[in-house]
Amino acid sequence: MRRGELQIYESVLVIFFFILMFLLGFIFFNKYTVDNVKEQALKYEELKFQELIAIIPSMYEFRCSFSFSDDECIDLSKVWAFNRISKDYFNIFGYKKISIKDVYPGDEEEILVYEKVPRKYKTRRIISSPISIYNTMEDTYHVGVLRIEWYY
Amino acid sequence: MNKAQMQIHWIFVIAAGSIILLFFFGFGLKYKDLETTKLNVEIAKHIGSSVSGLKTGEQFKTVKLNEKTKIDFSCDEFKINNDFKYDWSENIVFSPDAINSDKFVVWTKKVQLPYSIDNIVIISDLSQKIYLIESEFSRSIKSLIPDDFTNVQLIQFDDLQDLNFKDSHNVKIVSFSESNSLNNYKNKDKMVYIDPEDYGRVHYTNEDYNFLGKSMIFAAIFSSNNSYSCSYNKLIKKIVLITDVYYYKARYLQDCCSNFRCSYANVADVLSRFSNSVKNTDINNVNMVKNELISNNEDLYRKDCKVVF
Repeated sequence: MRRGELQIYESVLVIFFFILMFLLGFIFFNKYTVDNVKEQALKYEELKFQELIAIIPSMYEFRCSFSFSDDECIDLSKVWAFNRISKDYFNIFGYKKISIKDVYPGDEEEILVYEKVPRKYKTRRIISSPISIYNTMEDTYHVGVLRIEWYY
Repeated sequence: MNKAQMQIHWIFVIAAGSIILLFFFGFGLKYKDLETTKLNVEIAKHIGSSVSGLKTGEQFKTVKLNEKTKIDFSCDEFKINNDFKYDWSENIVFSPDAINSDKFVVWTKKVQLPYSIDNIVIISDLSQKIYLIESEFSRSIKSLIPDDFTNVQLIQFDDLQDLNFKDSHNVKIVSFSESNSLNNYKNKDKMVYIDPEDYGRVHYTNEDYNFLGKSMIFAAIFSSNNSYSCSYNKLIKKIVLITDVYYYKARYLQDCCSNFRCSYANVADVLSRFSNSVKNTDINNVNMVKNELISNNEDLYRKDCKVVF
């Protein structure tokens, strides 16, 4: 092999090596970008999930109302009624399970508000918050816990 | 090194150099895009959480952003700087089509028909001047608008002709009487007539919609035609859903708590009729059945029964 040919092969090899390095760099950077965007999207979903714990008790679908004024409690008869139409709330709640536990002086009975669990999910997160619940039948107020499970 | 070798050498240097430069340039652009998207996400989250916080009651707030931002609103989402879309389909938002500013006002208003339906979100671009043509009704409406809405102003109909509408794309005229003919005004898509009643008709240039209650009058004042049309339909769906909740609650009360004094069958029937009237957007009937509902609920209260709403 002549010296000139050797130099050409050497140059091609160097270019090939450069391109390979750049491609690898680009792939890693792209992965970093995609991961970053995914992380942002997850953070955004998480924020919305955490906001739900404050939003649900103030939703008029569940909130106590007596003679046109709204009270800071969850009316169990409305929860029962909401169960009949809960399928229409998928665009708001998505894949979640929302329940209320009657803690005091109740018997820790779990009352289901909404449930839509995906067939497959990687993980789930749970948040809960104390709330005041109103039992229409007994006309009494109890201490309850609102629990939201998020499947993703 | 001979001349041919030198040429190959230079070609190689140029090719390799270009690739390196292109890579760094691409890398820089991608990085800039990523940082911009991250910033847009932060702005969207800031707006989203401000609105969620306000939605728990009837409140208003001037949302301030660090820099001038373009926000495009559609029915279920808003888009920041043509980049990041934020979904807020759970909210019923009445807004202009777009805002290009570093601050705007958000106002949450309860829709009560006769029970609470939702706190609608009203957004106003402070750079858009809104003129309410002066009348007794418009004065009462203006007095109910929070002071943060510095862009709303009462104006005599005759003075309107004297105004110089150089920046007419950012002007909206609201009239509570169709006798105020605004045919000479060039930008007709920025005009809206609203019936001076508690329920009635909102007339945009080519389309008519209904409104039920004062909150929707404020919604019509601040929102665009597109926004009003879409959010009005969302609100109608919400009224039907909440009415269904009360219908099932009435049936629950009938099963658990009815006696010779307290019967809930009649309220359930009226609620069912109310739901149908809302679905058919028969607003005269909606108002009639609404009054029937109120009297039925008050009747239960007078008889010392559990009320439905």
